[in-house]
Amino acid sequence: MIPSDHVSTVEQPDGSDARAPLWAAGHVIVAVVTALGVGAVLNARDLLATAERQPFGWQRDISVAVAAPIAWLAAEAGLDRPRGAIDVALGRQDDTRAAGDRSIGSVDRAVAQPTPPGSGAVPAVAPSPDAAQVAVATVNGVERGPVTVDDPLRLYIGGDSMVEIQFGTALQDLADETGLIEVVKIDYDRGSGLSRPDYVDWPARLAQASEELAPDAMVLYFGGNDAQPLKIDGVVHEPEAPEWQAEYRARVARLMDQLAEAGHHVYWMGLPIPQAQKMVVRFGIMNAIYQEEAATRDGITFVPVWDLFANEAGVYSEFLTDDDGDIVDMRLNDGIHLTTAGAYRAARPTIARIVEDFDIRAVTVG
Amino acid sequence: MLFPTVEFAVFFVVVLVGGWLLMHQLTAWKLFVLAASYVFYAAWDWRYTALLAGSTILNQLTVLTIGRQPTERRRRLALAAGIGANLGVLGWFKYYGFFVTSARNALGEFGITPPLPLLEIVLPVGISFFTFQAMSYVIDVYRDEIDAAPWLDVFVYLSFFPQLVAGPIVRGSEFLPQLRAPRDPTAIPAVHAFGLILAGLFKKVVIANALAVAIVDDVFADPGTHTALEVLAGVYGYAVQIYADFAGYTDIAIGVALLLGFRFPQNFDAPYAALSLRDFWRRWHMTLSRWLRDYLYIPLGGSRGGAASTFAALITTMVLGGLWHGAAWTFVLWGLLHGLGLAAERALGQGVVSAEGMRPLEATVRRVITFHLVCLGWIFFRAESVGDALHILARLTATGPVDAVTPAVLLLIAIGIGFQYVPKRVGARLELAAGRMRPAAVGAMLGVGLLVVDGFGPEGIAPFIYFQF
Repeated sequence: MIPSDHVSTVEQPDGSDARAPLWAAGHVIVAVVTALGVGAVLNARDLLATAERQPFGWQRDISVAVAAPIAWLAAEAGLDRPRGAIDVALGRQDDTRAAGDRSIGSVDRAVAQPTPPGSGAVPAVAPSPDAAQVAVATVNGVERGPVTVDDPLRLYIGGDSMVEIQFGTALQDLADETGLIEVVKIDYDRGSGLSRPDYVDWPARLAQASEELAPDAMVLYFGGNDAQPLKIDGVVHEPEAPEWQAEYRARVARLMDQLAEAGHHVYWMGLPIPQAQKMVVRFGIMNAIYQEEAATRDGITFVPVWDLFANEAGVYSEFLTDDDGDIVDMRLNDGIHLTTAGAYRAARPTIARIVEDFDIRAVTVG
Repeated sequence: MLFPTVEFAVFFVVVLVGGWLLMHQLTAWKLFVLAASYVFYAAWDWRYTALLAGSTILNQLTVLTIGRQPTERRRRLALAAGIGANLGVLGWFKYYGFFVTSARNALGEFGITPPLPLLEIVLPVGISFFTFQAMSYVIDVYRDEIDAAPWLDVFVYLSFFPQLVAGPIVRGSEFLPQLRAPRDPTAIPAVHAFGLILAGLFKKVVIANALAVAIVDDVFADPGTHTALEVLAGVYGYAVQIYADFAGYTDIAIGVALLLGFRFPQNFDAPYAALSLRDFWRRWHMTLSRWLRDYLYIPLGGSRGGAASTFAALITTMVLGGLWHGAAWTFVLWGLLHGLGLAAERALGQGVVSAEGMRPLEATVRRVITFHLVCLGWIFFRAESVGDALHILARLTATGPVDAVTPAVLLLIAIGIGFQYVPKRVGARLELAAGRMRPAAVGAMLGVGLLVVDGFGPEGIAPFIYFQF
């Protein structure tokens, strides 16, 4: 027990007049260390997953070296079961996790909604079945019929933080404006990508989405987190290395093959020009891989946005002129992600391409 | 380095142990905690440690200069120079882009391109907070309310990591005296601190983050696809999110400081139980409210003049308070709404702050009205543009399904608002009970609390909302 002389009246920071027990520093340290120890054991699986998620390097090695025995201990003693039960209760038991997962309501809700100020670069279409044009697509090898209000184009948007940070909702907004595209899911996971299938297995996740949601088209945006070292045959390689590029190309190619064979129309987003010179090189490498691999497959379309975010001199600029001629902040301070205005800039050509490919342009409202 | 991370937990254990071991050697302790605070700040961007150090040097030089002036006029000049320099630094980092783009776009309508370059300026985290703290120190010394402190104490005061990046805004008169003698290693209100930290983590990680993902971000990003009830839930959700996020941060900051032996002022006191806007500002971000009151509202005349000058002082103070949050017209309008509301309350004699003697129904009606006025302000505060805010308001008449208003959303909102009505004695009793347990037992209970927080929080930790201010 705490010695009684350590319990005395003290004024609370919140102004209450309760008798708050006072402790000695040693007791505080014991309690803090115990709390963190117990917390670490009870959350051991998540702790290890967090450690493993880090980019390859000495910091990850140390984190994993510390977390792994704690996770082993917790598993052996059954102390990770409460956390497992919470994860199961919250639907997180699936290895293909869906951290940011937004299933969107039916397309009827998007019909004839007012256009948000400053967002309308895509022609809105009248919500009339007459407006629908013939479109042909295959989903899982099955040909779909014309896009109509009653049978809208089902669009899945997936990726990493590039989707999470504004692009997903901007694209959804523009899709809604058409009245003929239903966004069935905005599915993202920050810090994921194709570099780290040990964290999120995107091929498996997309296969699952394909089966459960049967999208007509998929917009995929990866890369914000992919310019990190890869461990290949036990050796860590940087993106500038030929080994890295060969491995990353193989992963991109496998995923594209999987999606193309399933009959999906895929729009693979290119990365925008970043601020840091090192990232300019790396994103350039990745964009080239996306573009080259997409060009060799039917149904996979590369959507370049690099130049949309370069200024007149062809270099990165945080501030760019928008369609109204105003100078607008398009990039976040990290020099990679997009502001809302930037997200709309990237989303417009994407939705325009979808509208064109599926021939769903129709009578412009108003 | 965010509070709810393993990285911070390890950092804090090192500082806690090292700090108490060194406490009996006060200078060594100050150097240790100063180094720790700069490591904490450098974790965001090491380059801005130079800004923090520069700000500290600037303000201490200002204080010393004020002290050497032989006349009041020269003292005032030195003060003005110091305040001007602080505002200049703040303006450069925080408002340059806003004013340049506004000027270029406005003048561009007339075919004029002003010679104002567009610069990519990264906003240093916490600059608004440590600049306001520094200004309070300078002004308090000028007013002879406190003495100039030694250099090392000022460095520790302005960089002390618990409150460095998002407050509370601790005044020199509150903090500097605590540096004059070693803190008592046998009298730490630890259980109260643990309660604050755990409550703060729960508010931030579980409530704020979950509401953001569940409804708020969607509604504000794409109000056009949401019906009235969904938008309303999104707005209520944001009210709870920003409270849980910011109050959660300051709860943790106050708790961490307590464990290190330091007392910070309270920053939140059940703001959504306020009976009026005046009452709200006595409960919300209290350290900013009193800063604005003492260093802006009262110097502007306060309530000393007639009604018109009082209203002008109120509105000016709130508009500038809005601009403090960020360089955008949405923040200006948010401040203006509150300024007008406060002026209207004053004119009508409705700025009550106590429910004593009030009928329960009247108190309830006042609380509901005040909460909704505050929510109206939050729409402008959260929206990306004034147009977006008006669009959200327009959607409050849209009929249709309410799919986005899930039981989980309603539960989170209810918990967030319910927090405001839990009597203080409940927490105090829990603390008293826990305080009589063994430290290891309390630690084990906290560990279970960490399981709940980490287990029920969404994947990943979003930065605290107030880091951007």
